[in-house]
Amino acid sequence: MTQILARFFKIFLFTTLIWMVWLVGHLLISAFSLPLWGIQPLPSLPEDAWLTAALILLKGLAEAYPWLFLSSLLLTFALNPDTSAGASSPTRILSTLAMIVIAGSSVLAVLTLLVQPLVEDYLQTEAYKVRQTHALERSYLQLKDQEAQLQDHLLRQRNTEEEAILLQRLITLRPHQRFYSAQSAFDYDFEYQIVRSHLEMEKFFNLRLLPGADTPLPEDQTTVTELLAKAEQLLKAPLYSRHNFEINHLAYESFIRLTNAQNQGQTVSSEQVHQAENFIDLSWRGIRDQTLSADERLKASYFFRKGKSLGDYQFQNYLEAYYGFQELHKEDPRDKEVARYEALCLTKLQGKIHFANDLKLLFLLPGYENLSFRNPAPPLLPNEKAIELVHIGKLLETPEGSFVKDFEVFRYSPDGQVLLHWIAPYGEWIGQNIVFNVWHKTKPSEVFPQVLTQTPGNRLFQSDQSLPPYPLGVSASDLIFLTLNSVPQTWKTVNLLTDAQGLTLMGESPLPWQTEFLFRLISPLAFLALCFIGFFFAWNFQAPHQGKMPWIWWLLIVILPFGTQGVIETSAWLAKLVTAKLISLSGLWQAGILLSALSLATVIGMTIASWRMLRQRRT
Amino acid sequence: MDGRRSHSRRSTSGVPPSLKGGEGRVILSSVKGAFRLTFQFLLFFLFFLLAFLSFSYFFVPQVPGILFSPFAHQMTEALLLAEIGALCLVLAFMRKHLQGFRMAYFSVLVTASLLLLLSFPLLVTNTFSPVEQISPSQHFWQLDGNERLYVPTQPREGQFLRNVVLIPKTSPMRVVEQVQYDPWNKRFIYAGAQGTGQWHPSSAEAKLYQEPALLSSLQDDLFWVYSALKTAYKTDPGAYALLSVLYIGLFLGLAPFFLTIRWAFVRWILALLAARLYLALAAFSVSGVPSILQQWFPATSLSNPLIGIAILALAVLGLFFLTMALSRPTQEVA
Repeated sequence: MTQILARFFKIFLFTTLIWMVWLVGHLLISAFSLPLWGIQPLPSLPEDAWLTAALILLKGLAEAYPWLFLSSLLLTFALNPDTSAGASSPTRILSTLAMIVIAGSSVLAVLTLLVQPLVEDYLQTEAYKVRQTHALERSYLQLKDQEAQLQDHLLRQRNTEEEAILLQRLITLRPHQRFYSAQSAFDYDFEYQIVRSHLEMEKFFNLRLLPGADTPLPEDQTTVTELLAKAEQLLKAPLYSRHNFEINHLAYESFIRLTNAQNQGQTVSSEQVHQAENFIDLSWRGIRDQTLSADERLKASYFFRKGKSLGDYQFQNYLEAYYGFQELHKEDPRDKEVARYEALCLTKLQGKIHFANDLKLLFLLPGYENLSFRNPAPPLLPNEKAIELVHIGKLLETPEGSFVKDFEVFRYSPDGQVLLHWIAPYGEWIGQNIVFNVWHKTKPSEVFPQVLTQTPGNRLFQSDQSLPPYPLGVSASDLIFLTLNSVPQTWKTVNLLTDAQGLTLMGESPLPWQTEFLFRLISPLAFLALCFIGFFFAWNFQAPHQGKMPWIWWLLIVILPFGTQGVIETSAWLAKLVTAKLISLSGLWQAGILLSALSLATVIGMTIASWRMLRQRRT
Repeated sequence: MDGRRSHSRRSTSGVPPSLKGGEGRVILSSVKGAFRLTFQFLLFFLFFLLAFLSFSYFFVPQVPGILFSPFAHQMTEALLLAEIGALCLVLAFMRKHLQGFRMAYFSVLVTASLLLLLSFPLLVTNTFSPVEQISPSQHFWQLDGNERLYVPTQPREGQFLRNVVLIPKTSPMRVVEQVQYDPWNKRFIYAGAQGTGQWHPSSAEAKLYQEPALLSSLQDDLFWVYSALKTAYKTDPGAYALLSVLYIGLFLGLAPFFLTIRWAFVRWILALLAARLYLALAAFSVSGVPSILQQWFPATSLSNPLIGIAILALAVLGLFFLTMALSRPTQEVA
């Protein structure tokens, strides 16, 4: 008995070691991204490389465990090591076998039910992080490339804003990236500081730049001194014929160049800086005077409208106040009070409503695309048997909330008649509702969903008022969980059992999840049965041999695991098919009982057959 | 391995049958043995064929997600596989009847070749289109091109699915009144599908029920043999007949493993591994060699497939002579 046990463990350790060497070789190739045999690079971020490598190794060993075990078992019993094993009583041999096999199945149960799902879950999350990071990095680098070619000032500013958003997202994804910047395309923190300083500078100068003024082309070789001289020349003209726009433009360009040069450590003349600032102020004043004198009526109403907007603000009508102040700000950009109230309104509105322009910018970030599900709790009339399907073009999860783009709802009766069909460009997913609190940024109107079809009793707008939150019955995190874990193998065993009902309600077939759950439960028992079958054949085909092991057996130690791998994988595949078939025929628990009974019957049957075979051999 | 020694021991240890009852009785016994083994081969063949077909008919339409076979004609895969399985088993029995080995060998070669030669054209020309009354359960089906189909609960089982909703990648969704499901090719046929409607192979179900690598590579190799046989059947009957005989001859070339290896355990493991390698060799000869040669010779050149067949023929001949050599001691004594 001890000899058999010792031999089994010796063979098992030896084969595991060989397999481990093979796996480590694979890992090394993936870690150094060698283009060999199509092996993929390690799916990990540099900061998680060690943990990912260790878990991949663990996963590989856990996957290989059944076939390494079966192969060792076959080799232990297929070769008659000495006369003592043959002479042992059948009960003794069978009890030794049972001990090995039960221990092996228990380890398999732990691996299948606990270890493998956890490892799979971690690797899936890591792969998602890698994909997200690469997508964001690519988008950032593309924007950076485009930046140099953009000549329009506003476009360039928008480009920089997009860059800042992407970098913020990257920093959230990888907070410790700065320690691994050598292995990355760029240093997120460093780039973010540069982009932020650019943005702040742009903001500062935007207050002084006239709308409509042409930004000089990058290839403009005119020096600052020349620009200022030209502006000075223009200032000499009489007040009524002075070209204030051009003076402002020339002074602004000079100021930007001087500030940039100062930032780069070059020495600039403070006199020139002061002169540029002075020209900007002078030109502003001239333009303001000219504009106001051109429209006296507007000037008269300006103070009245400002008072109204202030009133709106006081009565917490922030949205109306915002549009009012926005209009006033356009008319008189120099009115600091209006600008301050406009900014205050925006702060008050933050998180309560969203602007379509901001959301358009936000949806540049990578998210989950093309999702669809059945609404488990549609707002239907009583006794109405309609089905409501939801399709989301893109779902974005951010620290500020979950947002949807191209949101489509399709309600239809079982006889195929479309009852309600509408599409919304944007929306926010709060709890289990979609809220359509999206407004145009520059005009005071809401971004309404577009109704394609509606029938009596199935209307989207119950009144002319603003659209109430639309109930979905699921939260964004539920859908994201389902999207991220679209493969049942990556689910934790408990989730497989508890979430099957939710899946059915959302229109997904629960069969794959139920199959995976039952397969995990049954597989240790089925493996036990397979080991007994393996023992029967190994003992039946036993080669009597004494003394030193022949070379072919050493070769088999290496070759046989590949054979048993095929046997185990094919058996597992067949078992999944049988499980799925049985579940669809008789239900989850009946199928479970049936499969358990079948496995136990095989174990008992093979034990009896083996006992008879061992007794016959002995006699 | 000391297989040769064991043979010599076995054949010379007892009294040869020819010395007991004359040459006629020996021939008669050999003929009887050959008949019995051929009959056994046919039984094994039938068993494998039925096992494969019942498996595919039981699971393929009913369990969603199995993209079981790339073959346009499912039965041909069963035919090719059943031939290999039956040949392996019959070779194991043949080693126990060494006195009539060669006769049995030729008898099985002829029977198996005829079986393949005659049944393959029948299977290829007659399209089996099983009309399955299936009702896919109420859920989403992932299609190629990022489209999805939502199949609601069907009032009754039928050939068509009613009121299915097509969810394209970009809005809007639409109701498709009538959809036909083709379980063998895993696709939905409906108005406006225009070649789409194919099941997406990376859906959750497809990933769960995905065939193991061993089986899919086996199917790939079988598919190449099937394609070569089909092309040869349609273009050159002579090449078709030659390929069929070579296919059978190749797997009868497993005989040396059964004749030489004494330990049953080792014998079966090595024989099965060799069978897999032989199939890979067959696939390489009929598909790999012509595509490699294509780099130097024009694609339409007829010599490319012929060179592949010649390589296969060389391998089969080598194995044939090896088998004959290994089965000789018994014959000489007889």
